[in-house]
Amino acid sequence: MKNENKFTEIVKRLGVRHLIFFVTMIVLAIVPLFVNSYVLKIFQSAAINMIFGMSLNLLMGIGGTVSFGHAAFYGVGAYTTACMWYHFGWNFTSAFPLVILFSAIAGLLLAIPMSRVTGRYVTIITLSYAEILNLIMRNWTKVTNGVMGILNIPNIKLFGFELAYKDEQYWFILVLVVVSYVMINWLVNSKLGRNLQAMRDDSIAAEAMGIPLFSHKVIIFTISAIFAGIAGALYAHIYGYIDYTVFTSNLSFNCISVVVVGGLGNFVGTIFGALFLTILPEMLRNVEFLFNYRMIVYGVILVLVMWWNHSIPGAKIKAKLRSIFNKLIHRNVESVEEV
Amino acid sequence: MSLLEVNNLTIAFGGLVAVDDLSFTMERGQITSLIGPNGAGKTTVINMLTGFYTPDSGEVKLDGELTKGWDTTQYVRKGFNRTFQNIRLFSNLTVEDNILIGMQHRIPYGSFLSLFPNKVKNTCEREAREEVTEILKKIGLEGHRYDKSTSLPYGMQRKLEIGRALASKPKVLLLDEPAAGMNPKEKVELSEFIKSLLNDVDGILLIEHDMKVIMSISDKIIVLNHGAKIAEGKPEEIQRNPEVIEAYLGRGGKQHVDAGE
Repeated sequence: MKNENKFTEIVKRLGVRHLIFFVTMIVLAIVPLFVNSYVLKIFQSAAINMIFGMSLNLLMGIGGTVSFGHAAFYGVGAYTTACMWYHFGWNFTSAFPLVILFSAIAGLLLAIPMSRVTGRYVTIITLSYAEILNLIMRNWTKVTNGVMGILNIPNIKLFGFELAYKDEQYWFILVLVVVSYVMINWLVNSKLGRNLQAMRDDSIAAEAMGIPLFSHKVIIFTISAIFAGIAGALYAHIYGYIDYTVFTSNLSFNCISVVVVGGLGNFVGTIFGALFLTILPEMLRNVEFLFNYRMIVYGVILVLVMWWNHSIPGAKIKAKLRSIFNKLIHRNVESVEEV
Repeated sequence: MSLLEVNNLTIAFGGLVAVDDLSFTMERGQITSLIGPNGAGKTTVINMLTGFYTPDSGEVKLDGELTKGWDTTQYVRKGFNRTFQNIRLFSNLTVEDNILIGMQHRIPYGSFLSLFPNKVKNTCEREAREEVTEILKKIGLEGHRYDKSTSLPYGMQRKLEIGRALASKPKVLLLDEPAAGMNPKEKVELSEFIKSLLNDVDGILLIEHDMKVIMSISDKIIVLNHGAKIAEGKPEEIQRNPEVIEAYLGRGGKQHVDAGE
């Protein structure tokens, strides 16, 4: 009985979503003990996609702007850290502030035209912005090494300690996932986050309540770009090789599917979306008779997931789960005393 | 000095003059009503008084201060707030959050302090939430604090929208057709409610089509037709004004009114 009280207390203080998140993180943290290095590599890229997905979810789910060019920020982050190493021999830690700075600038530059348009123009501008940055990556040979890409990017070095092994790298990424998750939640549950959600729901009413739309749009774009840039920087160091083909619109669309499968504004969902959509193609690759058709199967599964999210059976199961959780939480405790 | 002074306000959209040389004043502690047939330019007036439209000419003075050059955030900070004709609540937010958005410009911490936990943020949020309790009491929605705003019944959504506007502590509250879509009983309640709002705001500008509501609570009525003011006065005067009757009922309407029809 006492244990139960403690459990409900923890759930109540954390909230069900946060609890699911931390449990998932613990489970993910022990994954390296059981899998081989190929599978671990997949988990690494899933973890990077989590940060990338959360950054886009911040923009889409909270900021209410769909970015079709999120790969641009990812690319800016990756190229910043890679170029710093290539030209000056800087390691991950010393390049990190620059990763933040340059991806922030990339976000800021996009935010300025974006805050003046709505609807289909958003799509066009974000898409073309990403294409422009991609062309720069491809053609600015002096800096980015052009179509050759940058090879042999070294492992991440944290203050002299090199993360040489896959499991160390993986845990480091997971730590960054947790940090990003916590920071994003701070933002969402603040005045800024509330104002952004108000803008997303009804920008006219938000303006009438005195919310400065322009500055808020700029802030959310910048912050989202920073997280995407960090994910890109991790990618560069984990894979050791980048070229412009990585950061095409294909990557942006993958990221959008991660967010949409996980649910807009639901950051725990993004974690699962990233896991699911990173691991699924690899699993399909291993099924021999499906190998040639794996992208078709992937597409069908994606459609089914989307349908399930909005279907009646899906909604019923969600409601059921919610009521079970509520019962669990409120079994011993009366309604929450608010201030 | 009047609370609000509007002088020669004019705005045109292309060739259409939506509001033509409109002047009026609002006094402290009064409900001023703006009526007129559909398309008379009433909502346009509200849009100009909250900074959504910039008038082509004319001026607005709040407590003697010119509003020229303000942006929408300044209008809210200086004491204008409004509701909308078709309810515009933040649909995915709770009732509490909707009210908090209303008072957002009075919560004294900025975007930077939002990014991480700190004492200022915590204190401000706690105080703001305490204030939400008072406002919810005022509008009678204490029991719905954590409900999604769109899950409320229609009448409550109207009240929540008014509560949201109240939360910004406006001097002038602009209500755009608050009684639209309500049944007669709700309308009577609403009239009482609007009257009680005068304890919290300095003045109310009310747009409404329902004459019972208008006539029972207005201190002054301004009648617009085709963007121009055709009459101004106390409810009784307006009821007998031939030009108003013509605008509403057409020429010859006066005989019907005289005949008591």
